Amino acid sequence: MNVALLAEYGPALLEGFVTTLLLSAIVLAIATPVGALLALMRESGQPILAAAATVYVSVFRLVPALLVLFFTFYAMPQFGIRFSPMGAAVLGLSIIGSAYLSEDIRGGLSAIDAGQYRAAKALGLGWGHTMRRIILPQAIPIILPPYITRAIIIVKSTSLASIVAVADLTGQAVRAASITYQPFPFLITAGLLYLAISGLLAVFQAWAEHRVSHERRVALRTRQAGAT
Amino acid sequence: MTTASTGDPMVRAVDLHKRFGPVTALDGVSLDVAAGEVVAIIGASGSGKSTLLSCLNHLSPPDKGEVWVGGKRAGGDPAARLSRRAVEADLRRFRADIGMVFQHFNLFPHFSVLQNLIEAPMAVRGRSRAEATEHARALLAQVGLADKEKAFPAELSGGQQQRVAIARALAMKPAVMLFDEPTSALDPELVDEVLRVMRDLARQGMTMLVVTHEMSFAEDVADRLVFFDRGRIVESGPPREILRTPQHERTRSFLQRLLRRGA
Ligand SMILES: Nc1ncnc2c1ncn2[C@@H]1O[C@H](COP(=O)(O)OP(=O)(O)OP(=O)(O)O)[C@@H](O)[C@H]1O
Ligand SMILES: [Mg+2]
Repeated sequence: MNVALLAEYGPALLEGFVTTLLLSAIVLAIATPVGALLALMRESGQPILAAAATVYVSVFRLVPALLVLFFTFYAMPQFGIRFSPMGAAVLGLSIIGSAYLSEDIRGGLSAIDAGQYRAAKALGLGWGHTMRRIILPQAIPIILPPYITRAIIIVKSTSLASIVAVADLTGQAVRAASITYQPFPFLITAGLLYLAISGLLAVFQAWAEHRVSHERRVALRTRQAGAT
Repeated sequence: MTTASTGDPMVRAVDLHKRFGPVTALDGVSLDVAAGEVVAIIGASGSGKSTLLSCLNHLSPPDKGEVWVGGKRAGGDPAARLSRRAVEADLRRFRADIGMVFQHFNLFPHFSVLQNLIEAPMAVRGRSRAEATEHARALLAQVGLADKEKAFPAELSGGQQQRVAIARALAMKPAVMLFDEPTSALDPELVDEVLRVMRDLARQGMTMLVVTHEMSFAEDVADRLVFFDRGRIVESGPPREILRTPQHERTRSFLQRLLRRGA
């Protein structure tokens, strides 16, 4: 019976799975550069830019994601800005995701010794070159593990989109469950599929963490050989 | 009073002031350094020595006062009314002409020794990789590290790292070199190899300002000793005179403390 039901709703679940993958990818593709921009604004030393970014990050880390989604889906049309369910979900989740990601990115940036900036500046290097060639190559290995943790949280949070009528994995599973009155097989299947995405990211994270701990050891040796 | 110089001084600082909140780090410092002159700067912790160096190359610009290096004013000619962007660009060029060596080396840990030396000459001076590499190799030979170009900073001793840092600064062909306690972070047995490189540099006629607690280096190498106290130059003159017969009470007590520590 379960097998027959799964076979019947399989295509819908698969569609939902693809939608979830797509939604996750789009949100990460938007939230990552926006989060990086916010982090750079906060580290720029320009008071106005830093303040604007700080307000944005604080606000969107403190309000519930679902509220933001409701806002983009139900409230924005009142101002004449209308989105498809998918569009509203992408916008809402990207706003929230970028606020969180900026914190992770900023954490990595602030782990870099101020002496690196001073040395680059003293050599006459500009801000862009310093970031691109000196700071980011050192910060990215530090940022990567928390970044992937956040990416996993963002993938899971895409399930909120089902509440604003996106037919994602959660949406499809809940729909099948309510039609058939058989929640168990569909929710388990959806759970396993989420697990597959998150699990893949977690494996990547473990690998990245291994790499970083290696680089930390090297950096530590630098400091010990340097400062007494 | 000061060493007579032909023509303009290489470095001219006029009435520098710098505060950090309630702390006055520089309280009206003026200093002329002739081309080829070596000036040693001494003074108690917190007296403003590091602040002076970072004001000279405008790593952190003074609140008030002017700096000239090689006849060029930091930030350009005020009469030209440059935009903020143009002033920033001028300051980048200005800094590129001033070598700086830090207490903790601040090498770029993800770059090889060679890359540390060629990055800025290529990016800032627009030199070709071949040109920059050739110059870098000559400098590494000069600081006694010709065989280390492929090494990473983490693989070097503190003394070797500081010599790479000196070579990195020299790679920009600076008009002046600033040293901020270049041997203070080193194990005692590694101090000499760095001082030797600095001595050679002084002999070759490099204009140098050196913040240091190495009194024998100051005495042997410096043309002039400047004693700093609470953001001011209290005393300045030939090292031997100041070390033997300090005129000011503050200088005397500082030197006595230094002696007692067995430095
Ligand atoms: N970035 C900063 N923010 C706040 N205060 C600062 C900063 N830099 C320096 N100061 C303060 O300015 C004063 C002068 O500091 P500075 O580092 O120039 O002294 P110094 O002579 O180099 O001392 P040391 O021998 O310990 O290196 C000190 O009181 C210091 O605490
Ligand atoms: Mg200092």
